[in-house]
Amino acid sequence: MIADSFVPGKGILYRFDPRMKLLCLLFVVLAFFIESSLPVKAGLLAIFVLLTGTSLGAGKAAVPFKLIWPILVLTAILTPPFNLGGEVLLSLKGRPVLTSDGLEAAAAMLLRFSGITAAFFLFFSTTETSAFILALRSFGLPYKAALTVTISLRYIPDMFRVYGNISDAHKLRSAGIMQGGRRRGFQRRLAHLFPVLISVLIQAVKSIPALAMALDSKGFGRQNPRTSCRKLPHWSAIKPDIAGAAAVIALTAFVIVLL
Amino acid sequence: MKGQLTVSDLKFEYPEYAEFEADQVLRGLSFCCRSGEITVIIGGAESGKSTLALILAALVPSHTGGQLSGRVVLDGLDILGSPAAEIIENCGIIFQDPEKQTVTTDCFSEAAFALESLGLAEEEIISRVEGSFETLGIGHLLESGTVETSGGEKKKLAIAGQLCVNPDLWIMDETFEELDSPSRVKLLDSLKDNRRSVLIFTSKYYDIFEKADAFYHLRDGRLSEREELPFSPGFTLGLREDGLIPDFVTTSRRPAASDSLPDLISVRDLAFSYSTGREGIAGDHWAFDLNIDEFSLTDGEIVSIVGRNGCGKSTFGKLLCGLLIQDRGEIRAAGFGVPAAEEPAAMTAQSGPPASTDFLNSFCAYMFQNPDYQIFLPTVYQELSWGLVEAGIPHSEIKERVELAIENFNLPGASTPPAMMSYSARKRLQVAVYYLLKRPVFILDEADTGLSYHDFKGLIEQLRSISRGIIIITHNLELAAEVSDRVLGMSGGRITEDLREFSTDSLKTWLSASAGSGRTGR
Repeated sequence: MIADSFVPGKGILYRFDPRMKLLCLLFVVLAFFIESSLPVKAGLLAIFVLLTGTSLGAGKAAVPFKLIWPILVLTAILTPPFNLGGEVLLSLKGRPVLTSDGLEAAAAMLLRFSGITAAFFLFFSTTETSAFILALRSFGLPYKAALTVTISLRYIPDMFRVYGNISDAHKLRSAGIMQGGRRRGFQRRLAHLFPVLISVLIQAVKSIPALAMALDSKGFGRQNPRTSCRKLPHWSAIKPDIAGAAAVIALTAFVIVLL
Repeated sequence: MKGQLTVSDLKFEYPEYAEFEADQVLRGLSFCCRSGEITVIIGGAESGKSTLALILAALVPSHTGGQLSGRVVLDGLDILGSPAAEIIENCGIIFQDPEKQTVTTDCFSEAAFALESLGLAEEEIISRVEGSFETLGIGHLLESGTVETSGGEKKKLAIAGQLCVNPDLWIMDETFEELDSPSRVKLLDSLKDNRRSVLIFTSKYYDIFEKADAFYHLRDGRLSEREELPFSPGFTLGLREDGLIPDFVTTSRRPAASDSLPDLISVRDLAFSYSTGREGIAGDHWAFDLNIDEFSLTDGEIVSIVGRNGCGKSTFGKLLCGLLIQDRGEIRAAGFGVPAAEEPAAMTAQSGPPASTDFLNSFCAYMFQNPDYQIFLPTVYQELSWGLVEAGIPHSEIKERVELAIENFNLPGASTPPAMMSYSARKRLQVAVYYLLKRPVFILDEADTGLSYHDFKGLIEQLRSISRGIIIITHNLELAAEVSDRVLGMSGGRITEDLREFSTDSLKTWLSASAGSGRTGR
């Protein structure tokens, strides 16, 4: 979800310093974990949906939920049976299946997942990968660790692309035979998935020495000190951003404490 | 002037694997690349080109293992004893697959990476990156993500990265493949103007190499003597024997397909568009529009589609085989009915109702450029029999069919692991798989990449005997002119030329004047 989700734009969220955005993101994620009030969680989620809609366009506000809908469905189904305290709302053959506690726990989990996903989606939609890496480095992450993150982000879409190509290739190869063949339903889908995954695995393994060679061919690991062309502005130049981030964090903390 | 390379008695073999003895890839090569010269090394598939290129850049055997002996000296520097990262100003390599050389997420950082490794100042890096992008005509990519670039643009990005460092010796592994003809000419002219030593590895001789200074023929791990133009008869004969130069005199052209033959596949008012950049999410930097008013492939016909990088050739091919779904228009296919592996489609209907994507999936065999996308089982026999087993065909019949396919397609043997086969043999295996599935139409998407003229022509001859129609998507105008009954020229997402009379020269003239991609700003 993170990789390749940046959407070019010029709004305030784009101009906001990535280091401050990262701090705000971490605080908001923390808030979604520690906050127990459903209205606060729902309010925070609503704010992120609104920000996404205004920054990226109304059509994009639903994208984070589309990305995680299977998780949301599973959470809604599986959480209540493990929380059977409180008032019984639904029972089956005399055994409670849905209680007020279960419903509340499911709602909390759904809001938490949705909120965190929406926050990360908004962050990566308005922050270039290179700026994100620079922000991590400015907080002390060593260059090699930052490069590892960069390469991971570079290869995630690549693997998806390879998976798509291989999946297409196998789809064509198995077309017309799998439908009429000896396998049915789930077994057929599984039989289709197996060769795709094997082929993707082969391509992934092959890419390891190629990546090492690519880094060598670009001088990675030379003895001389490395420079960095892209830099974030000095802290003194982003005082308004620091103030903005402090305000966001203080306001969120205030609402949590108050409610 | 720098860039004087001397290679003496170079031998190399990859490490042994269980049950497979190591084969000597390079068998005592000696040659030189003079300062400021462009040297071309021509060799067929699996002749050792990429291995040699990687050795010269000090990347093999450090990343692959293997036994290496001999000497490689560049301006007095012992390359084999140097760490690759420390010599990037002396010699730089552009990989055969530029995708594999990309390590960052945006184009600027990608080109700047090596300069940062060298420890250059910020202003110098910006100046060099912007200058190289401008030289190669890819200034529009400065702010783009690497994932947004097309195949041709990725190649140009890799070249731009090299140009930023501008090493004394450039090593280019199949860099001219996948580039359209005008881009090849422009690239070679830029290399001439740059006045650095250049070593080009290629599986085909192109006319533009007339501007090169020296040539070698790599065959079975051995190198010919240095050759200059005009080639000696012996050198030409060697290249011709390996199918590395166009040799189409003996080819028998088929009579042009008759208009009275039925259409195998036909297209009317086809429209397809997509946004790229942030696929599926948002932020469309540009969009691509494909509009095909009319197209048909006649039964028995071979049609080539040519055009510049990004003009929509592959998109059209994927629409025809149902991998993409059109926004508007229809695709009709003859012999409507699913051609299961047991029964080939009946080719009687001139045209049926619009074909579903499922039908098109089973009607067309789309040959991906990378054969490994469609190969996944441990032996040739299992690979070939997989589809037949899934279709429930009796084992005795499967055995018979597979053995016949192995013989017809000159495959090494039923128990051979595909991973240990040569590139051209894996391509033949890919074709054999579809042969057993009895697909009527074959679409070859830049399938000639990495293959010699000879190997590709052999592939077409085999396909011709087993299929009802072939569509070839290629940048190789010599091949298109040679093997096709008809050539379609695509430009800006449209078919702008439908040629029954053509030659390599006429296609080159058309391509030079044609517009580029089907991209539109949005």
